[in-house]
Amino acid sequence: MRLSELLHRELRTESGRTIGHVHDVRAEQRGDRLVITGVIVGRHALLEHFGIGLAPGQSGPTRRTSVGVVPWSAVVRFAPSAVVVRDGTEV
Amino acid sequence: MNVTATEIDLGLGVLDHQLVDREGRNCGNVDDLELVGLDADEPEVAEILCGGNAWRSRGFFGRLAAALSGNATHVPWSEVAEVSSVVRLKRTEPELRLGRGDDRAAKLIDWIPGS
Amino acid sequence: MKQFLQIALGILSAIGGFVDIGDLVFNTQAGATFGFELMWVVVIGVVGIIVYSEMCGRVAAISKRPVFDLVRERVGFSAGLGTLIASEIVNLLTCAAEVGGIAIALQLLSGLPYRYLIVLAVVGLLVLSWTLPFVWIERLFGYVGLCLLVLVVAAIKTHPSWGHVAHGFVPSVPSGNRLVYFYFVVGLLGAALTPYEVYFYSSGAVEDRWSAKDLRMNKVTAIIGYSLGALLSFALMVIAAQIFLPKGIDPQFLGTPALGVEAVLGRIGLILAIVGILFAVGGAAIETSFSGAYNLAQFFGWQWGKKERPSKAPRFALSWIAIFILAALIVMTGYDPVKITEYSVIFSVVALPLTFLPILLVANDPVYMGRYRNSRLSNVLGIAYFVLILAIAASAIPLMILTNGGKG
Repeated sequence: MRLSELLHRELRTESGRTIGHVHDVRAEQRGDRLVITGVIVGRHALLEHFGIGLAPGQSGPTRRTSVGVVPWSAVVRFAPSAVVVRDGTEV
Repeated sequence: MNVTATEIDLGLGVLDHQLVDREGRNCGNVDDLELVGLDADEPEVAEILCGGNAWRSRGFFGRLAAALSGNATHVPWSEVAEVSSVVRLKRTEPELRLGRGDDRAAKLIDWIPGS
Repeated sequence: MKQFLQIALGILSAIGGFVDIGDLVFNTQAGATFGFELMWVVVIGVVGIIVYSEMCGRVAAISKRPVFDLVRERVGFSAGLGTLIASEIVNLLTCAAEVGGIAIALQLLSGLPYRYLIVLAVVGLLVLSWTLPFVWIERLFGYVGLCLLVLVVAAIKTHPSWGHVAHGFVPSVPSGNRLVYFYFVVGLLGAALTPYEVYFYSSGAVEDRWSAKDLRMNKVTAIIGYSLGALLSFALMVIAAQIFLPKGIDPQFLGTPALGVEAVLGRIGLILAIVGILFAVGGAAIETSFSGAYNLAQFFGWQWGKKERPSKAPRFALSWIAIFILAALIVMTGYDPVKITEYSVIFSVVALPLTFLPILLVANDPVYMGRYRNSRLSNVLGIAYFVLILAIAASAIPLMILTNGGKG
């Protein structure tokens, strides 16, 4: 799957509750590999993309503030236009 | 401006960023990323997609542009040296088969004196 | 001493390059219709372009990237592409208007047929851009453009009532048709707040490798250069108010400002005015086409640079060549160059929110700017102007239609 196909998908739990939308994907560089560690959800992420709400020092050029990260381990499967996570996952 | 961060947010820090080769030459943009292993424990970024039909999932204009272009260039993530405000690659443009658009364009103007 | 000289040269270049065909048309028409009543709009326009130029220069010096380069990263692919498309259409129209202006100026000087002069103008621009090092291009067009100072001399020699002129700096109830008045407010602001200028400036600053220590010079040059350049706009309005308004002359001809100068200063004044117009507009033509090329190259990630050999940045070179040629084709259709100018300014105004918003966002972004992000003053001014820009963008086309292009 491409990153662009993953972004903006709805994030919902197995029981059908919508948590939010995928605003970004967090990854970690391990050696030569860039491993995906989580999904960023929530309003803050969208505002930050437009440069609002960022304060100096709170994020670097490549990383947003820590609100709203869902670890990849919570992801169960993909549905059409959605990402399904385990019940009980909170942002 | 910044050193390589170990944690990177793909949309903010990589997607749509400038690609620069080892010699500092602009060689396109990160038009999309190919992700693999999403159904496994440790999914990762396999490749950078650049140019051509890399845009087919970037909206209406993206699809239009993709339809008019050839194949995208795939750059394995292992070719990335550093992610700062630009994505710096380990090798040169010709080695990675990037910048072919410039090669084609150069043919159109090479004959003019002073180029 | 060397820095003083550098600043002085920069200022001279900015004055000569301040006026383009949009300013010529709108300031003259505004003066011929409303006398001195719209002087205050020019002031607002100049302050606005200073504010946004300073932001662009700062972005270039600190992030080492020109503003448009960061548009795609900052606002995303779709919005970035929308901005690109809008910018390119406006750039092309504006370039066409400037080429039309060059052809008219050449016609006034030589008497040769307009059509041939369009070709001559574009061939000249292509050859100069291809062969001359860019610093010489900027100097050539900037310094010879200073001939336009004859406008200031002429304006003074028309002996306006300076009290009335001073009144014009205070907004007041319009004496004539209100809609036409606001059409000119929109047009004058659009002629002053030109996106191509700030994008070109930003790219040039990166190529000249500005850094934090160049910021002060950037601010000083921008403020003094643009303010002095505004004198030319005032002069155009005064000449039109003194010479055309009393006679009810509607300046529908690009050469009208020069004829105004001739009325006061005779043949010498006429020649200086035409030469000044030729080079100021010529410089603007080059800026618009290169700005268009910069935007394309920066959005798609190509190698770019006015200092680069064309073979090293071929798609960039082909872009500005193509823009010149397309601009010439537009003018060759024979469409009235004054109308082309009016459309280019009005469409530029409509696209202004899209073209200026990224500047505001990037200049505020601590990721790119660190501690050099916008001060409170810059933000207050930047946001105030942005609100103004939204207002004029929304009203531009309705006003143009309702007033039939300022005719009333």
